[in-house]
Amino acid sequence: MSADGGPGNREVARRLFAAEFDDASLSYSESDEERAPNYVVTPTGARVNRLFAVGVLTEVEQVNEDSLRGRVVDPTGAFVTYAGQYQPDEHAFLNRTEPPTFVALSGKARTFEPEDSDRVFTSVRPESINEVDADTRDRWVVSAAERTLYRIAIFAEALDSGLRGDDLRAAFETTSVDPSLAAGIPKAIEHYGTGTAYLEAVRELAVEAVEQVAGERDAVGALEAEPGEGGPSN
Amino acid sequence: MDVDKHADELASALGVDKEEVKEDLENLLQYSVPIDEAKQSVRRKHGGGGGGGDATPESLDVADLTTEHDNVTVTVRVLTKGTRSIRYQGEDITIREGEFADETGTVSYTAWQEFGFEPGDSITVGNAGVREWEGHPELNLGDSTSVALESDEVEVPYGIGGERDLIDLEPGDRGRTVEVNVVEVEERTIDGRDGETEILSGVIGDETGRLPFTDWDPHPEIETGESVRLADVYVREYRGAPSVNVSEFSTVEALDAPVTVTDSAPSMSIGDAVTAGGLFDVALSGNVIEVRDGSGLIERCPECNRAIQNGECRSHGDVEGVDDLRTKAILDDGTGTCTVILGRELTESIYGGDLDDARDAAREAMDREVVAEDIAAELVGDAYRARGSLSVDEYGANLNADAFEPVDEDPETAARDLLAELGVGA
Ligand SMILES: [Zn+2]
Repeated sequence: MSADGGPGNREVARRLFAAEFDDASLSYSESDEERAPNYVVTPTGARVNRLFAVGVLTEVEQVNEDSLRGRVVDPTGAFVTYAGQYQPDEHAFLNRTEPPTFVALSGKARTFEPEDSDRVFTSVRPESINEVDADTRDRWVVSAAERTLYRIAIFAEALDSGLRGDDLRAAFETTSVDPSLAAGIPKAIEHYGTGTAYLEAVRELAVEAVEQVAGERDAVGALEAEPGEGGPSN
Repeated sequence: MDVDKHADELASALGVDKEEVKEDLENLLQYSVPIDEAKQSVRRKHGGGGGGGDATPESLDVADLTTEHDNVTVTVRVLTKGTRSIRYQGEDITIREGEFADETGTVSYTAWQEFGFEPGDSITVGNAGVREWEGHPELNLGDSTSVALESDEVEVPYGIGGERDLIDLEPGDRGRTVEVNVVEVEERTIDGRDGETEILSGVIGDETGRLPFTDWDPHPEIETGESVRLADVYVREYRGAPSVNVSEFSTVEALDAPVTVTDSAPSMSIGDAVTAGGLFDVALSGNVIEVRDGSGLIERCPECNRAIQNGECRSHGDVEGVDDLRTKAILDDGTGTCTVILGRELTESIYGGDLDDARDAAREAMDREVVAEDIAAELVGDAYRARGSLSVDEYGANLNADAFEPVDEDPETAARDLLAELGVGA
């Protein structure tokens, strides 16, 4: 059983923007068991095993004999996905699809740290990729914004509460907060020291993305804040 | 049994020494006298005034009842009364259940014999036992209970009678009356507690919703398309949703005016629906993020209709499979996830062809999987709204869909709505 147990253990496909996923550098497993799910925790506390993103496939690149790399771009940045020999259907899709094309991507969140780098990169191991239309992309932007704004609101309350770690997690358990957030937010505070400046920047990013779908803006500003800005001192 | 507790209570009520009371009680209990009888006897002995005096059971307002009380007297209005047969210690017993109220509150009751009161009556219930049921006090009316009809009406701020809309029914409700249309019904033979029994099961609906029902004593008035009044039914939980039970004690009456059945199902997030543990009729929206194995052109066992693989049924061994079309799609909205199961008709409309077309395609490709691949290419990534009945078990949540269609809401409108909700933008 995974930590959020409950009926049906299939991991929910999380919605988040590429810019925030790109800022993630923490991944962990609930246990040492081989089958235990692996999670990437983002700076606003999204605990992501599986994610679902819709964007524009802008590039497909051969990275080695077996693998293709695709960039799926949303209004804030790019999700990078690698399809190798164990993802034959997704590999075939990337191989035959001519960018730019709207695509829906679902798969497992991953982090990796190249040996010659001190940066942690994120990527998606695809479980499905398919061609979609512009409306599907726009609907996804709205739903990603909804989930992101909800997460930020819960995160801000958690910061205000002054509780940290297990105490915070225990406090969440008495509420109706999504168990995956209840696990992710304390870890995000500990790892990133996420502060109000970053929360506000991600909030602005989400609102701007929705404004773009509403036809009120041409472009979405970049996410330049660092997670720890304005954070609780620890 | 906690004799001390009873002795304490009696002693303080009677204003006598506790040890003396306890000795009297224990003496009676040695003879297997029921505790209620024993207490009454001790009360009378210690100047309870031969009944009717200070030491008779406390007369209380309903709001003051707690599970701490043993025996009470209340003056109440009968709100509802339902009849049910239960098997108790190997015997079939007919019990009456329902709710009483006074102006301070309501309380449920179970009566182990027929006292003759009906909804609307004002009565004084003497010497009723109090037991706990799901954390609340409930009155138990047995052999030592007396019921007297009051001539003064007890005014209550509650509706009298069991009439309800389907949407208001909850598991545990007794003595309910609903006016419904029979959406579908079938006869079934089940292994009941007394061997094989014929029952009816199906779906009923009204303006507020649709629910499954079972008639344990088939009533001929219950036929598909007919509108009926079902009086004295009870409600149980079936896969997390209320289910209406019609019994030998229910009255079924055909209605002249047809009852209209609602077209819509409640919408909710997939996370909330899965947490609810199962819903009979619900609408869920999300993205199809995957089409699972076991979709497309499948084979079923001719004996049991279960999907089979490699011509082998788990129950019937090697069988000649029967072709069918089916889709198992993962629908996920970011709050929860479920498998939507689409039968042949819905699958055909997604696939854009019938069973023969699918067989042709499979033959041409020499691979049955091409059918599932075409279905996945059509569905995956897009947003859909599915309606049907959701069941949840340890393996996950499944929605058996009656309807499945693309979300056609304009994303620009959705974006404007969200901005308005946030109080930003135009
Ligand atoms: Zn079989």
